[in-house]
Amino acid sequence: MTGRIFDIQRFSIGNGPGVRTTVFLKGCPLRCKWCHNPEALSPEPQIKINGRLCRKCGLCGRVCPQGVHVLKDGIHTLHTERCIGCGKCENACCYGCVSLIGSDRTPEETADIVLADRIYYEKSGGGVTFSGGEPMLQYEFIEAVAGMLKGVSIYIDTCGYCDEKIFFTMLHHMDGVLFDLKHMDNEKHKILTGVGNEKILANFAAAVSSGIPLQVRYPMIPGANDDDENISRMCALLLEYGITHLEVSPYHDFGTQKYRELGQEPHFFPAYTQSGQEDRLKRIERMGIIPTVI
Amino acid sequence: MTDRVRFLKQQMESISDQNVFFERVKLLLEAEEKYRNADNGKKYVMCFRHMLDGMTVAIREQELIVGMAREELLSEQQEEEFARQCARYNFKVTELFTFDPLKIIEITDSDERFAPAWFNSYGHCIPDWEHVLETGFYGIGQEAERRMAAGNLTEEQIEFLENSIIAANSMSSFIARYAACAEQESRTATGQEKARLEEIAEICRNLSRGGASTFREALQLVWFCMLVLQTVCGARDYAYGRLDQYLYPYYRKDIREGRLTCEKALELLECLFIKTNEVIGYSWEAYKSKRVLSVNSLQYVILAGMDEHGNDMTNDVSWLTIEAVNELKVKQPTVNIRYHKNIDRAFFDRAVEITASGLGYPSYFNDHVVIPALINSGVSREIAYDYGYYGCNNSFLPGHEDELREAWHCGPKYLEYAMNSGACMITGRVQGAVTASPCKLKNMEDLFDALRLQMRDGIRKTVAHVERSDQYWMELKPFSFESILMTDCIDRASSMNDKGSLQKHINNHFVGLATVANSLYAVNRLVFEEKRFTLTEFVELLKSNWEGEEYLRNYVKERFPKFGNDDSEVDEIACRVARIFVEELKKAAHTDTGRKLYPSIYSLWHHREFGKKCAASADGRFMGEEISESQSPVYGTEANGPTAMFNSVAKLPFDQTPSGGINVKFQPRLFQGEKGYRNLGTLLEGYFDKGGMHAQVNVIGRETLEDAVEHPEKHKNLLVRVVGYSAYFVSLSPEQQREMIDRTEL
Repeated sequence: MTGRIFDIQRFSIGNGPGVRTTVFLKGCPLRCKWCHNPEALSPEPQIKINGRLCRKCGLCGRVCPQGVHVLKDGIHTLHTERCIGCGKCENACCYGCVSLIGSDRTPEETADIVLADRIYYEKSGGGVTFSGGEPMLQYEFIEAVAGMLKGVSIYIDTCGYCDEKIFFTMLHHMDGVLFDLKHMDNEKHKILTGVGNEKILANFAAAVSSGIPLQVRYPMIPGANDDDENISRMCALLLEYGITHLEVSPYHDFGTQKYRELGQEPHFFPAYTQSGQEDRLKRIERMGIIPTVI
Repeated sequence: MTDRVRFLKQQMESISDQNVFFERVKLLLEAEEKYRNADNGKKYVMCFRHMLDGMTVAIREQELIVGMAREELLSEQQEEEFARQCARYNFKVTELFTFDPLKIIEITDSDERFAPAWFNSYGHCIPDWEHVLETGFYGIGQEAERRMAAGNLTEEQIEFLENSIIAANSMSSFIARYAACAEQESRTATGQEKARLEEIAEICRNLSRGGASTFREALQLVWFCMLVLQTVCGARDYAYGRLDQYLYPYYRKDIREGRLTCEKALELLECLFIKTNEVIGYSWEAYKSKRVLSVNSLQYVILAGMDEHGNDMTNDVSWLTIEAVNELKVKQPTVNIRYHKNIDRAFFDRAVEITASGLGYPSYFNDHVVIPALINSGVSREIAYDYGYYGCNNSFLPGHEDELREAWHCGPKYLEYAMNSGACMITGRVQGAVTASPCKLKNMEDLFDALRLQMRDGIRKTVAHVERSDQYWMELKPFSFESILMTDCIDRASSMNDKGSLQKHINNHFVGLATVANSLYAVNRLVFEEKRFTLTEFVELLKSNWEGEEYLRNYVKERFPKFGNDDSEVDEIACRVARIFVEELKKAAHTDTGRKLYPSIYSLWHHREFGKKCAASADGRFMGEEISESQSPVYGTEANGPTAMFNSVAKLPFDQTPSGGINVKFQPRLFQGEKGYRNLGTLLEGYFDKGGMHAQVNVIGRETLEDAVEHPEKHKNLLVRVVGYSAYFVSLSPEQQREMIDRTEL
């Protein structure tokens, strides 16, 4: 049994308490229009090119059996739909420009990497965080890795869109949950992310009543989910559950480059001005919730 | 910061780097003339006395700690004369103290040193401050007299003691001159100013007659010594050593007896630190650096640490020191902290907060590794626990040694010789040991054997050189001012260069370890495992500077595992290389002048000059490019973040290397947020628990980020804090990089 992982980031801060290692699992059931990890969405391996390191040598194109890599007028582009994930181009590139995102790792391999930084977790109250994509899609893999990490704090960063029985079972393996709330209105949630929010809210309730350490995150997207009504409804729900803190992730476009590196086009939202952002934060505060910008 | 300190800081910052301590030249030339027929030791001490009797003594506005060297802007004529004297009397000392056994780089002195052979110092040491403060110069003179009276001495020893008495008395007289100056000025002063001068007069009177009795007297005496060492003897990198340990008894007594408050103590300490900066030149690595022998001196302070029973030695003066440097934010002193598991948590926490804020220090040494390293190098337990550092990560046992001795061993060059029968791959000249030709090296074991023999050869040359150097100094300088500041010299009636100091050592710095490890990995894989070349063919390829194999070179450079990523195979190679070096030094044991051979993994900046003289290396490096720095991975090869980097480095045998260190660079935003600095503490403690030795944390500024935009391949490991997470800078888009640069405060 393996897990499909697209990154393991050591010395992660802000993904749960302390210094952590974040294991990013590939594949997500949502398609949030503001997603800054587009390489996480498809469960399949994908090619990514770093344009700045590319020397335009054309070697990747020559070894590719599918004609994915195109070098024209000094620009390296991708026919991603032709890619079969063989990885020949990644092996051929000697400039560190081509990467195949999404490799399969066994639970042992993954646990070994996580355990290598154990001492830093001990010093900081940190541990491992499973994120992605949506880690719950590979819950069996996570269970297997968790079983090899005795004594290490395990957090999961989830959107909550997951079968309720599976979610409930997974809660018992976790020491903490980072949970996203994207929109309170089911229809609007569907438009913005591709799915409705009923399951999500049900799982949220389950997380709350389990008593597990819970950190709620709100990706704040201009014009999409930051209107007064959504903020009010969201804060009211938090207060109902006795939650007083909210991590706010204001929209940024740092992921847009990644779309291009994958041969895709990003969706843009208007950026927040300083005052615009502060105004939204004040709105949250007036509802009795303490926001922290992350 | 009090108004006084603010004023003194401004005054210090307005001292021009153009100024020269011209009267030193005049006085020394006068003395040389007068005592030209005296033998070396006597000539030295009479020059010393002549300087202290004749140099201008003055007290500046608002000072609480006094003592200065009169500097002046030179007229054109004076400039000419100064240049002439410097050229004539510049006694090139460097080759005798810090050298390259393979002689592939040139380590030279600046030409603007007035450093005549008859009056010369190299600095780079730590006096026995505790003893100096307790005894004072009058007391030191008396010690020498008592020793003389006790008899049973050779002629040389008698002469040493006579010179010691003269030197000690010269210092007492010098301090008395300050007392007289203060007293005289106080007669025409009024009010607060009069009080200030009278107090200075009393302090200096006391210090001219004995040791320190108060905190302020202790600071003043320390400064008089430092002033004379740096400007009169003329050298740099004298260290304050364990300032918190030897000042604390005075501090505690004053506080208990109501003579001192902790605010006043902070002010006094800040006065001392400002003084520290008056003699070192203002700008860092300026285009035209200040023409003073103490230019850019690094004034190390080392705080806290543990005693033999594991008790923490942090005290109030440790706290005052870090608060003082954090408040002043001036060039020196460089504060280091001796970390150990029982260190006062609040103190360590505060120190880390200051480091993470971007000050660049405190830096940290790990007692649990340094002390065993000293003991493993032959130092007695008791003395090892009292260790300090000065200058560039150089280990020193305060009061027990002499001046710097260091040799720079170029690791990649040793590997070059090992693969090429002892010949340089660039010039073809045989400069190393004549080991087996590459066709006879059948496997990695053979290659490691050849490498060992090259190291043995370099160590042999080092020992021979330093024995010559030691002999030279024993004859040239049978007396030095520093000697009377050391613990055993008067009792043994011999200078620190001769038989006076019992714990002398020479640092053997191994340069380019990561380059060597990465190269050995590549040789093993390409030649012995994948059999793409014979070793002979591969050597030819390196000699040709990778000609015709650009693809392979890049592949090796980008795709082969590198030291610094927590990869066990290549990390083990690095450890093995370091262990061989340690073993060879242990075999050589010590010089016949009693000097211990310390191993060290460190490069200072020599990795650049060495790199220029090294042929292409198997790790994909071109001829002439930089080799790896100190204990760090090769620049640009860290791909797994700081925890992986620290994990790799911690595997090295630091329990055998008393000297050395690592610089790590972070962007300050990685530690931002209310308790964000604690992430730095986590990294340091984790690193030290795993066996790490030292860390200096540099905060990188805009220039580095700008460079990363231009040369992403050089900065692949540059980790920055983006919104909510850390990311590699080179993975951001141009617009995002621009924004990040604009947001960088420093």
